This record gives sequence, C-alpha cells and structure tokens, in this order.
Amino acid sequence: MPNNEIYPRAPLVEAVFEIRFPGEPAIECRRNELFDFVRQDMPVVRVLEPLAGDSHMFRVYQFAAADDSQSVMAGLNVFAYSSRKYAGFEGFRAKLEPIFKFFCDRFMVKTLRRVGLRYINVIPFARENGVVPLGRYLKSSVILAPSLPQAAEVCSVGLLIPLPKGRIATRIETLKEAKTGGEALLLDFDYFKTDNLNAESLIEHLEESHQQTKEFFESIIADQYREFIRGKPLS
Amino acid sequence: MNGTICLDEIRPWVLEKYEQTCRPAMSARGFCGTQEDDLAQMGEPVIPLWDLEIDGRVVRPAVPIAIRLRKDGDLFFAENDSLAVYASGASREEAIEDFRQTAAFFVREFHSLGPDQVMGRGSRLREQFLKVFP
Repeated sequence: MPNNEIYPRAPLVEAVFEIRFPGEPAIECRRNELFDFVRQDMPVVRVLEPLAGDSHMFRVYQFAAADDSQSVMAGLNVFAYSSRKYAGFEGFRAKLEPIFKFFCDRFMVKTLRRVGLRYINVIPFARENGVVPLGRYLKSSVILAPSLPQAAEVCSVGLLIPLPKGRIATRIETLKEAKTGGEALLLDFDYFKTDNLNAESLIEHLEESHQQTKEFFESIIADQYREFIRGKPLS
Repeated sequence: MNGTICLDEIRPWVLEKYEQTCRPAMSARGFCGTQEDDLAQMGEPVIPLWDLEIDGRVVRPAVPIAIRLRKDGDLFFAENDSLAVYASGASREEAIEDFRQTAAFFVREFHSLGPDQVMGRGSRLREQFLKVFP
C-alpha cells in the first residue's frame, strides 16, 4: 500500500516536475499561448539567467505566481512546473496535470528524453559538540571507515543511485545562511528516467517518480526525525 | 593555509562534476539561485529538542519539542511557548544551550513541587512539564 502520509512539519521547500524533449521551435514562437493559459494564477514573467558556462542552453521563461508559490518554466526543449507551497502529492498532481496536457497538446510534444521529479528539502539544525548531528536526522551517518570519527563539521555528498526503473540523483549538504549564521541540512532528490518515455504516459511517470522518491525519503530519514515532522510537537 | 578545508572552496568543483554527471530538474529559483536562498527566506527556523541532561541523566521528552529560533539585534533567542521557556545567547548555540539549561531547571523544579504548592499558570505549566517529562 503506497505511503501518502503528509507530514505537517515536512522540510520540503520546493517540488519540481520537469520534462525534456527534442527542441520544438513552436514553443519559442508562441510562448504567449502558454502564458495565456496560466496567467490568471501565474502572472509574473521572468527570463531565467543561465549559469556561467551554460551559454549553449536555450533561454527559459518562467511564469510565476505573485507570491512565488508556484511557477511554470518553459524553454525550447524543457518544461517544468514548480511548487513552493507543496500540500501533498494529490494537490501537486491536480495542479500540474492540466498544464502539462495543454503544453504537450498545443506544442505537439510527443517524444520525451527525460522525465524528472525533484524534491528539495531544507532541514534547520543546531550543531552538537561542534559537529553536524547527521544521525539525528538520517539513518546513516558519514562512515568512511570504522576507525574514523563518525562525525562531520561540514558535509557535501552527491550520489547517483540506479533503481529498477530509473535513477535518483541525491545531494546531501550542509548550508549556512550568511546573515544569521543559521544552518540547515539540504536533502535534494531528483528521480528521473530517460528510457521508455512518452508524453501520453506522463501522469504514470509522475506517479512512479513520486512513489520512488517518497520511498527513498522514508528509507533514509531517522525514526526520531520522522516523529518530529509527523507528530504534533509542542511548540 | 591553516590546513582546514573550506566547503565554499570545494563546492564549486563538486557541483560542477555533479551537474556534468546529471543536471537535475530545474528549480524555480533559476539556475543561479542557491539553497542558501531558501534558508534565508525560511524566516524563523524551528529545530527539534531531542533530549535534556538532568542531573547527569539524558532524558527524552514524551513528545517532540519544537524550539523556535530568532535573532533580534545582536542576540539570538530560543523559545517554546507551550513550556514558557524563553532563552537567549550571543549565538544560536548559546541560545539553545541556555534553553536546555532553563528547561532542565523547570523539569527539576516542577518534579520537586506537589500540586498544592503551585497555582494558576504555574499549576498549568507544572502539568505540562510532568506530561512531557514524566
């Protein structure tokens, strides 16, 4: 039975569903049609700046809600929906499904090269004895060798893990906020597939991606942290 | 060179290699935004209080306790309204340590007092502390 429990204190700051496909010039020519479709909810228009060294990338337009709670991003060969106020998978899917259907139908996107679902989690923490208390939040700590201390002052780990139907790219990293010195643990999961894709099965891809990512999250968080985000902590 | 490795120095290299291997789905922050931006916009972070040390014993609360952290001027504050614990310090770590010591003090005090020795808000707080730290 799938676990669709919604945690009241979930550390999720952003969920993104993205498709990549062979370049379709109609998207560049008729961006206004996509904007007309979403402008009631997402009236703010931005052009995303590519990273240095990414000059080969096509420009991506972003249409965002006034409070940045959600946005769509469209380029010649990429389309994504992002939610920064994620209130559960069902709501996320209900919101993006008509937008993706409109996009794929209007711009004749049928062949997909990549489908990815990304969950970005940011978990504030306090150091214990000067180190990151990874074991409080994750089931596994940093163990390079049994003879070494199982503690870290900073952490930055990237993993690409093969799963039966796709792959999951994971980043676990400590973040520090410049002004207040506040620290947090980044858990960034991106489940993606590059084979056996088609636009007609988009929602099945999304559901599979969600299931895999959810299982991954459940597998790695520590039980006591799950209690914290699940329960009604005394606040 | 003091022999320590700064994450900021190795991070661009790590990220570049990571992105080359597998560029993840794009983020609404754009390609240039960082997760530190998310952290900065989170407002007052809330962290769990995992345990308290009371008279040399490590005691776990019956329910998770959320500590709200905030900064005001040069001071950091660590607070929990339900337990009426308000602590401060010159850094986040000092504020949290002050919170732990204050909470531990209340646990000891309320366990040493009978129900007829406190009244009003004190009585309600005593019940709360005994429920969380039985």
